[in-house]
This record gives sequence, structure tokens and C-alpha cells, in this order.
Amino acid sequence: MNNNPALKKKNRFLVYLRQTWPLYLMMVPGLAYLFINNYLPMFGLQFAFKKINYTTGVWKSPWVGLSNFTYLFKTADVYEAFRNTILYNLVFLVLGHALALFVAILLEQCMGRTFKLYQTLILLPFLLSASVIAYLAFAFLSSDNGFLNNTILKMFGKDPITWYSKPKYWPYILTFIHIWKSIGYSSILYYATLIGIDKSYYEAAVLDGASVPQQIRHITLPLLKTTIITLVIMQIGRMFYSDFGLFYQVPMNNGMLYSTTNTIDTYVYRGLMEINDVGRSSAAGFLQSVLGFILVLTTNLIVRKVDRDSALF
Amino acid sequence: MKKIVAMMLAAVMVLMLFAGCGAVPATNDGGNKPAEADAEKEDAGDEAEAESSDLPKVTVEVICGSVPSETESIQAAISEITKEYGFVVELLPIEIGNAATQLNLLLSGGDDTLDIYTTIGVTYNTVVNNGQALELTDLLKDYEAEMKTALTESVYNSGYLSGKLYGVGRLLDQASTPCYSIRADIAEQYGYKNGDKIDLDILTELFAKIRADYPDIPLIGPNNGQPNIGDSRVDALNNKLGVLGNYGQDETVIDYYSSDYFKELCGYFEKWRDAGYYMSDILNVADTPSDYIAAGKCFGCFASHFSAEMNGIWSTSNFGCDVASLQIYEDATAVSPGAYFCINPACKNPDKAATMLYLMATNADIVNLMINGIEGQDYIVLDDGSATFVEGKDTASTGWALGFSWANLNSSISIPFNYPADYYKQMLDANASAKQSKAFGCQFDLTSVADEVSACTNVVNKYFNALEGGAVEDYTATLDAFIEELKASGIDKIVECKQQQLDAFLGK
Amino acid sequence: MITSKKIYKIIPHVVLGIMSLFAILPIILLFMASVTDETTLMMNGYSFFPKKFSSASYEYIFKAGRTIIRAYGISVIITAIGTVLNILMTIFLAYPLSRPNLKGRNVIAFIVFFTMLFNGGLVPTYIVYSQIFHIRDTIFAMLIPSYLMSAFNVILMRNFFSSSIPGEILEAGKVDGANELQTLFRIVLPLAKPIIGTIALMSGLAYWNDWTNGLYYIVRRTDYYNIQNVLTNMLNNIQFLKTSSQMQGINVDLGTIPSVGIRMAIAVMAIVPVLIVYPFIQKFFVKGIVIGGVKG
Repeated sequence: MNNNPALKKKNRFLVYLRQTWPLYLMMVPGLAYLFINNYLPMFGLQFAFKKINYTTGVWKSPWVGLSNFTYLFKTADVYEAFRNTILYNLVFLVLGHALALFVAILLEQCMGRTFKLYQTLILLPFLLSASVIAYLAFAFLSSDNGFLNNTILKMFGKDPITWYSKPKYWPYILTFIHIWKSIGYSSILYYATLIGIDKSYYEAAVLDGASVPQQIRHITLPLLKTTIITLVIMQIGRMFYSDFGLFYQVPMNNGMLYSTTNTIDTYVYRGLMEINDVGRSSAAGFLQSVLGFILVLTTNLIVRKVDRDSALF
Repeated sequence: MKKIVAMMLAAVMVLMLFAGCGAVPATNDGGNKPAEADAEKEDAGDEAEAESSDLPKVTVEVICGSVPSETESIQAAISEITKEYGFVVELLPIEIGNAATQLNLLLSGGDDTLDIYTTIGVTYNTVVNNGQALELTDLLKDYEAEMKTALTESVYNSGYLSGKLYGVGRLLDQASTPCYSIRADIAEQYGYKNGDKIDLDILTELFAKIRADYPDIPLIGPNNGQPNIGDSRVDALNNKLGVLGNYGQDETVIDYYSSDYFKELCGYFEKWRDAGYYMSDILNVADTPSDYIAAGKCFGCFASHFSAEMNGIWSTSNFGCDVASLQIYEDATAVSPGAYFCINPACKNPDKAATMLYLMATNADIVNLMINGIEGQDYIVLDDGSATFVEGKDTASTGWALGFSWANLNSSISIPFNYPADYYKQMLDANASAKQSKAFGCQFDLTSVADEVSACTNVVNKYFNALEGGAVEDYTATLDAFIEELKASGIDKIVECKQQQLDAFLGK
Repeated sequence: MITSKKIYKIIPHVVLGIMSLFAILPIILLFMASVTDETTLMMNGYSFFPKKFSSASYEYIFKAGRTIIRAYGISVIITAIGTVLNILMTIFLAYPLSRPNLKGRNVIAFIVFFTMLFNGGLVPTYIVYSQIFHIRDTIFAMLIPSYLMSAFNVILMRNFFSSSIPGEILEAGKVDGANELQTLFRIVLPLAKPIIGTIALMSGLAYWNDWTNGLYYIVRRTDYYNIQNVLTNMLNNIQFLKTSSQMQGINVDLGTIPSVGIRMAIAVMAIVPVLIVYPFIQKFFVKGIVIGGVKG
């Protein structure tokens, strides 16, 4: 009776399902939400290739090929914007993760009341909106009332600097603000993984006479590897996006700083202010996503080759 | 675990409760439950609507600064008037800061939440291009003559795009004249008073005199986040990318930034920069004139208004100190209206909405209700014919004090609120005496040069404010670089495109 | 030997102390600016020791009275409900994905991850929610769009499950005859407290800081606005009134409205509740560590 191989296979599958159906059922709400919140709206991806007319409707609007994309390839300013976006993201990626990891390890070293205090304090900047951060930055950088000019530079007997007209300082300023704002939040991610590590590893290491740096290098980092790789790959997908508030509001949209503050998002925003074209703005988003997607697939492929278990998918 | 389940249950119950009490008023008042509505006023609104619930409803966008509490009684009063035309009105207040985002969403097709809207936060050309405005040519046929009388023919006709009408132009100040606003006491000290006419040379001399006496106080502060030194000698044709010179009397479109107009201005900017008249960080502070002029941080700023005198009166009543505005140019250029009133293509009763548009242009009672509210309750009329707050009330305690008369189709038939009684007469006179641009009523469609517009807009953003704000080191070199980058970004194509459309408009 | 050990004990405190200082000083400055007299702020700039104090900014905000209190209420309720739902959905999706033998898990993981890269944009999302699900102007508009579950959190939690929960524990559960749900709730979740705490924090902050759902999906029922909506609207409108000086017919005495100070006061008002609640979340956090540490 059970000689038919197809039937056998089917039976095995049924047995498998009988054991695992609760697991599949569990995933339904989450997947349903992703379907509604993320996949249904993806019909909007066609906006990038259409001249939208809301009266005739999105579906019937005429296709225009790639003409919504052309403005992203025309001038020297766009290349500058692309360059800035990628460079800032690379710096944020490397520096951000290294510091977040460092802070998480430090936090783990001092448990108890002080831990609570530190963690609360360094998380606070994350709660500020970009416009408030812009005001605070101005409080420090303003040329006549700013703290840097008035207090710190004066202390060292240096001449005041007109920060808002010197693009060369802004890569440092923006990186500092980005890290200042995000470090509390991103370190929590690593911290959660760190405290999940089995303490007996450390106990054994201490018995073997390992110093703290040795413990970190030989126990902590290898155990954090998967988390680090996951977080990095996820961020690589956003490589062509930028934090609009940071790059638009903090430099006060000052034209003289564009050479180091213009990113793809700010360029598109300024460029479309006049024409307000949904097709063109969708095209920019589409391009950013596709480029990010390619980077992620490549990175994931490399990771898979080197270490199968750490790959994201 | 039990804790989590209990929390969940509690949470869901609270949510149900919320949804539950939310559903009740939402179904019977059809919307508009303002943040702090009084129960009694709500009742009044409900009754009025119950009577006329079988009539079709037209929803009108109302721009406001914060959601007013009397929406229901105002819309009931307006509906009383519109009932004889066979429909009732619902007002949908939208906060000015949210207008752009919310309009873009509400007009995304198939949604008839809003029937009549204003192109404030969105642009007329774009909504027409996107198919977000219904064609009105035939719908308004019967009302055309009366509306032309009320709004003037040129304003009404400016709504035509390639022979079809999609929106009704707003009647407001058409010409704005740049002026320099300065604390009145300082102006007086040097022999000037509100409304005086000067020119940029005289102004530069005045600056020098003031500077000699008050060496520490800057003279040019930001307005609207930038120096905002206007130029009324040209018709900007919406975006200053390609303009008409000579107060809009030329018929040749030119590039403004490489023109002599701008070169001359840059000369002054450089002089002012050298002499240190600009407030420091003028491009980066968010301070507004009402903040720093009264505080004494800076003496003045540039502004634009249909008349310098009126700008002084306005500023005086808003800045907390007396302000004198000095007019810079002899004339002003009258340009196409800044906003249009359109009907959502998803509107269920377009003919009723068209009637409402007609009433908004011609019916003084409705316009007064929309702008000033109900007499005796929201405002009182003074002997001279102007309106003001009811005794002892102010903006916060009045239920309908929108303060956005300019966001109405025809404010000129309303009672001026806290303004001279002849305010609207002056405005209409200013419109009549300004030089009407040759391009008045020409709607430019820049879709074919959209790439160039986006590139040039970026270039202008990069250089213009810096030049105007006295923030560049080498004026000649920067201006040259500016012009060159504009050329590389295709400014000539935009100029050419505008020229073609203007020629067609002028019937060449 | 002892000295170097001590150094490693001190270093974290020194570094974190400095970082905390960097974080807190601007915030103190922010608070001082919010209670500084507007004219003083204008003339002297920001200062830790302002010459003249004023409560005008807070008075202006509290003029809105009941609206503010209701908005705080909405914020608290939505944040609480949203966070709980978010955690549950995240767990239910992440746990199966962490099981190494589950068929199709890579495909599903990819489906989840894909949503982080591509999105349809604002207008299509709005069309889906307003025209298919009709949640506009209901309380669900504040809860459901965007923040109910995030792919990022799912992947993070999956990662935690598969790296920090040993497979043997799950096997042991099976031998005891526990079903999948029992295994999840009795064995896995107690070990996962740190990551649950993290995701609670992230989701809670996302809900608390959100003003976009109110802006996009609330048109008529402005009584559903949360505190961020009320505060950002207030700010936008003041900003608009103050900057458009050529606009006629605005009947407000602009001179009496604080502008910079109010911005700071609004930021303070949005931070304070988080400052009050955060230590409680941390308690949960630290408790999780102890249990997780011992059992692991």
C-alpha cells in the first residue's frame, strides 16, 4: 500500500505539518500585518515609471519609461549628493557600530544603579526632534553667541570661526551629532545580546587568568558576531538614504554648506519643491531602494561564502 | 505570562471603549468634532443638520491656525443661506502647517472627503497636471458673468489652462512692493515716517547715518528665514527661473540671475556686507522680525506688501513696537493670483460645489461668516465699519477667530477685522494702479523642462540666499559661478519654454 | 595585577560618565532656554545661567489646557497598547523563524527583510488604509499604520532566539511533552527578557515620538491627536504666523507669543514622561539579565 514513493513523501509531509502547524499559525498575524502595511502599498512602486493622473487613476495613468529618473543623473550637484550620502553612511556605519559596541561592553561592566543612570542619560538625545537639535547646534555654533566661539575657542585664545560658512567643518559636526543622538539607542541593541551571553564562559576565562581585554576579544566579540553582521547588513540596505532632519535642518539649509551637507534626499527635496512631482520623488526612492538591495544581496552572498550561519537569509 | 495576557486584555478593552465612544458622534454629526467643542454648541449644529439632512452636502476646506471650536455653528449658519440653493455646507478646518501634506493625501483619488479646496500648500499647475482638479468651464457657465464682476475679469480668466477652466483665482493683493521696515522711532530720528518712498541709494545713505550713531546694532535682519529683499521690477513668473523685466511690461523672458537687475542688487548687497549692516548668522537664525525688532537686537528687515504704508500698520499691530515701512521701488508689478479654488474630481455633487464657489465669490454674508464668524458672538462692528473682537475676548477665547482672511476666495467683500475700514478699498486701488504684467493670467506648464527646473532650483538654493544675505566673500566670482552653473543646469531651456508659452498666450 | 583589574573597573565609569555629561548638558541647556525670558534669549543667546526667567512658554502651552491632557492620555494609551501588540506579534513571527528545521523559513525571512528595503511610499499607503480599511478618523489610525510591527525588530529577535537559546533546551521541552506554545511561553520567553525589554523600548519610543499617523490619517477627529501632534501643530502654526509677515489679516499679537522658548518647552514636555517611565522599563531589563544569566 505504501509502496508509492509520492504517497510516502506526502505522508512524511503530513507528519511534519502535524508537528509544526502551531509554528506556522503563529506567524499569521505578523505576516498579515506585513502584507497590509508593506506589500499592499507596493503597488505604488509603479509611480516611478508613470505620469500619474489621479482622475484617470493610478492604474490607468500612462507609462513614461525611465523619464522620471533622468533628473537624478544630470548635473554635477547630484554626483556630489551621491558621494556625500555614501561617504557619510560609511562613516556612520563603521564608527557608529564600533562605538555602540564599545559602549555596550562598558555598560555591561558596570551593572546596578550607575548602569541605570548612564543608560538613561545617553539615551536622552534620541528623543529630541531634528528641529530642536538644529537649535541646540546653533546654540553651540552661532558666531556671536555660540558656546564654541564664546567660551571654548576663547579659552584657548583662538579666533572665532564662522561655522555656518565653512563647509570643511561639517563632516565632523554632522558625524558628531549623529553619534551623539544615536549612540544610546544603538548600544542597547548590542547590550541586549551581551547580557544574554552565558556567564560561565567568563568565569572559566577568569580562572584561566584571562584579562578583561582578552575576555572581550576571545569571548564577547565572537559571540556577538552574528548580531554585528545582521545589524550591518540591515544598515547597508539604507546606504543610499539619509536622515533628512540631520542634513537639512541642522545645517539650516545653508547654501554655502551644500558641498559637504547635500545628500540624495535633500537634493531631491529641494529639486522637487517647485514641481512637486510624485512620479519623480517615487523614482528617487525606487533608485535608492534598488541600489541598497543590490548592496545587501552582494554583502549577504559574501557573508554566506565565508560563514554560512551568519548570513541573513 | 498571566500578567501579559491580563495586560493585553485590558489594553484591548480600553481600545474598544475608545473606538466605541468614537463611533457615536462620528456617525451623527458627520465629522468636525473640534478639540474643545462645547456641548451646547454641538447640539445647535446637530439640530440644523437634522432638518436638512436630505440635502446634498458640500465640504469646504477652511485654512486655520488651530482648529476652531465653533465650526458647527458657523457651518449651520452658512447652510441656512445655501439651503435655498439646495445644499448644505460642511466646513473642514485644516491647520496651515498641515495643509500641504493633508491636501496631497486627500486628493489622491477616489476620496470625496473634501469637495472645495484652495491651492495653498500645493500649486495650481501641479494639481491640474495631476488630475486633482475638476474642469469647471461648463459648471460655472451660468455664474461666469457675476463672478467676473466680483473678482474682476482678469483674475477670473487667469484660471484658464489651454482653454479650460480648472480653478477660480483668488482676489487679493496682486502686486507686492518691497519695503524696508524699521523701528518707527529710529526712522523718525532721521526724518522718515511710515509709507515714505525711498530708493536703494537713499536707503544705503540712511544705513550709513544710523550706523554712525548706533555702531553696534545691525540693520538688516531675516524675514521668513532669509533676507527676503524682493524685486518688484520684474514679474517672477512663479519661480524667478525666467522672468519678465521692466515691471512685467517686456514681452521677452530673461534669466533673472544674469540680468542687470540682479547684478545691481548684488552691488548693494556687497556694499552692505562690507559695512557690516547684516545681522550675524542672518541665514541661520530662525528669529522673526517680531522677535528681534521689539527686543532691540536689530533695527529692521525687508518685507513685501501691496503698500508699504499698510505693511507698517500691519507690523505695528503685530510686532509689539511701532514700525515704519519705507517703499523702495516707484511701481509694483501685478501678477497672477497666488491661489486658486478648485473642486475635487471625486466630488459627488459638482454642480452644488460650483454653486458654492459662486457664493464664496459673491455672497458677502457667507464670506463674512467664513472669515469673521457670527456677529455679536465672534466680532462686533465699530462705527467706522471695521470689525474687532467682542469686548473682553481675544484670539484664544473667541470660537471663530481664524485670522486667515487671505485664504478666502474674495475677502474684499468682508468686513476688515482690526484693520482700517478702507483696507480692502486700498487693496483694490493698489491692484488697479500697479502695472499689470503682460503675463498676467498666463499659466506656465513646466513639465517638459522639469529636469532643468529641479536642477536650477538646487543651484538657486545654493547661491541666492548667500548672496542676498551678505555671506559670500567674493561677490564677482560667486555671481559668475552662480550664472555658469545655472547655464549648465539648463536655465536657457526654461526661459525658452516660458517664452513659447507666453507667445502663445499673447496670441503671437 | 590588582591595579590593572581596578583600572578596568574604573575605565567604564570614566568613559560613560563623560558621555553622559555630553548627553545631559545640551538637555539642561534646552531646559534653561525654555524658562528663559524671550527677550533675554534673543539678546544674549542660550545660557546655563539665564539673567531673567520666565514661564511664558509653558503658560502658552497650557492655555490649550484640556486638549493637552487628553493628548497625553491618547499618547499613553496608544503607546501601551501598541507596544504590547508589537511585542506579541514580533515574538510570534520571530520564534518560528529561529527554528533551524522549519521548512520555508528562509523564504519567509526574506519576505520580512524585503519590507525594510522597498516601500510603496506615502500616498499608496494612505490609499490602502483610507480606502480599503477605512481607518481614517478612527482611533485605530493612531495605532495600526507603520508601528504595529517592524521587520527590523523581527530580525533582531530571531537572531537573539537562534544565538542565545540553546537547542537542547527546546529538545528537553519536547521530551517533557510540552507543545510548541508551552515551550515558547515556559522556556523560551523567560530567557528572552533582555530582547523583549529592548524591543519594548524601541516600539514604545516609536509610538511615543510619532506625529505622522495623526497628520496623515486624522482629519476630522482631532480629539484623537496625541501629544506630539498637538505640540508639533502648535509649533508649525506659530512658525507660520511669525514668518509670513506679509500676510494680511492675521489677528494675533505676535509680539506676545514666545517662539524659540516655546520650541524648547515643547521638547521638554515630550521628554519628561519618558524620563519618568524609563527607569521602570529598565527594572524589567535588569531583572531579565539576572534570570537570563543564571539560567543560561
